[in-house]
Amino acid sequence: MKTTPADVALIIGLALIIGTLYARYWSPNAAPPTHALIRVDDAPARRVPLHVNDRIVVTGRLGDSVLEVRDGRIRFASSPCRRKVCIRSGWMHDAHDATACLPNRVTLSLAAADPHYDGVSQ
Amino acid sequence: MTRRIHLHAGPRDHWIAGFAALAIVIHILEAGVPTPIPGIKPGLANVITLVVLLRHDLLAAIWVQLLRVLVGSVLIGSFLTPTFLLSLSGALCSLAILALLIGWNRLLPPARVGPIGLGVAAACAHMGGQFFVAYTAFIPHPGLLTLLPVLLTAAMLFGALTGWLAGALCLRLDNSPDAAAPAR
Repeated sequence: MKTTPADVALIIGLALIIGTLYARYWSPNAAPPTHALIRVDDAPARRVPLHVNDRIVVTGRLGDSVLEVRDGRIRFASSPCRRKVCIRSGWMHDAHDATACLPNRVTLSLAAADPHYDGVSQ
Repeated sequence: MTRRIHLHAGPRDHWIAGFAALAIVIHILEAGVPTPIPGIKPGLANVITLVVLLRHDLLAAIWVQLLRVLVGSVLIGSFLTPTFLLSLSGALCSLAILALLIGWNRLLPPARVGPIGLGVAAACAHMGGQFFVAYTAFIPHPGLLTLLPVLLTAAMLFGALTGWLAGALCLRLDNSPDAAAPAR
């Protein structure tokens, strides 16, 4: 049973449509993060846009943590904690990425304007 | 005063009924086989529809397909249930696409769509129509859309399989010494 050129064209067309559907519904990074949420202690989250390069200083229990925003990413640049786990976790760039400086009571999470999920457990 | 109506089943009715019976048997056998994901099944009964379409005509294929959906659902016990409505909408969509492609083949014989293309298009149309009805009428939840590409991928693979089987079967039937010219 041989395929005709029209068969091949039809199958390629359908494969493209299905590929687009996969890209739309199956890629976790479909919605890039638009802002970061920074929380200190129990205070309401502070929204920081990710499209503006910036350095943000937040004051926690131990002192000042510095967060750096660059090219849609954000990281802890410095923090007064001992083990520097927050700094070593590096750049956050995917929606729902999250890290924290627990000693200084600062948490950082990324969110999208049009989130695909209510939440993600990691 | 009553008038008697006499219905005479001609030879064409007989062979349409025969093909429909074949399709119904395959349909029912397939309904008994468990599938890993709801909505995915090979749809081998469509091989019969395709064979009828390729060897005879569109009208006969429509008869076989609709008889299969109707009688199959009555025998399985799903007549007029959501399952039946999904099956019917899928069957109608695939028939519509097959009608389009047969028209295309008549208009442009050099660029004709072969059995495999017909099988793939019919299966995807079947799945698409079914999904549309399921999504709009029964489960309008955006989460359902996540399943759509998976279902369509399965439809494409099984459509290619049924198309290939139908084409191979037609070749066999054409070459078999018992096969006289197909009844028209």
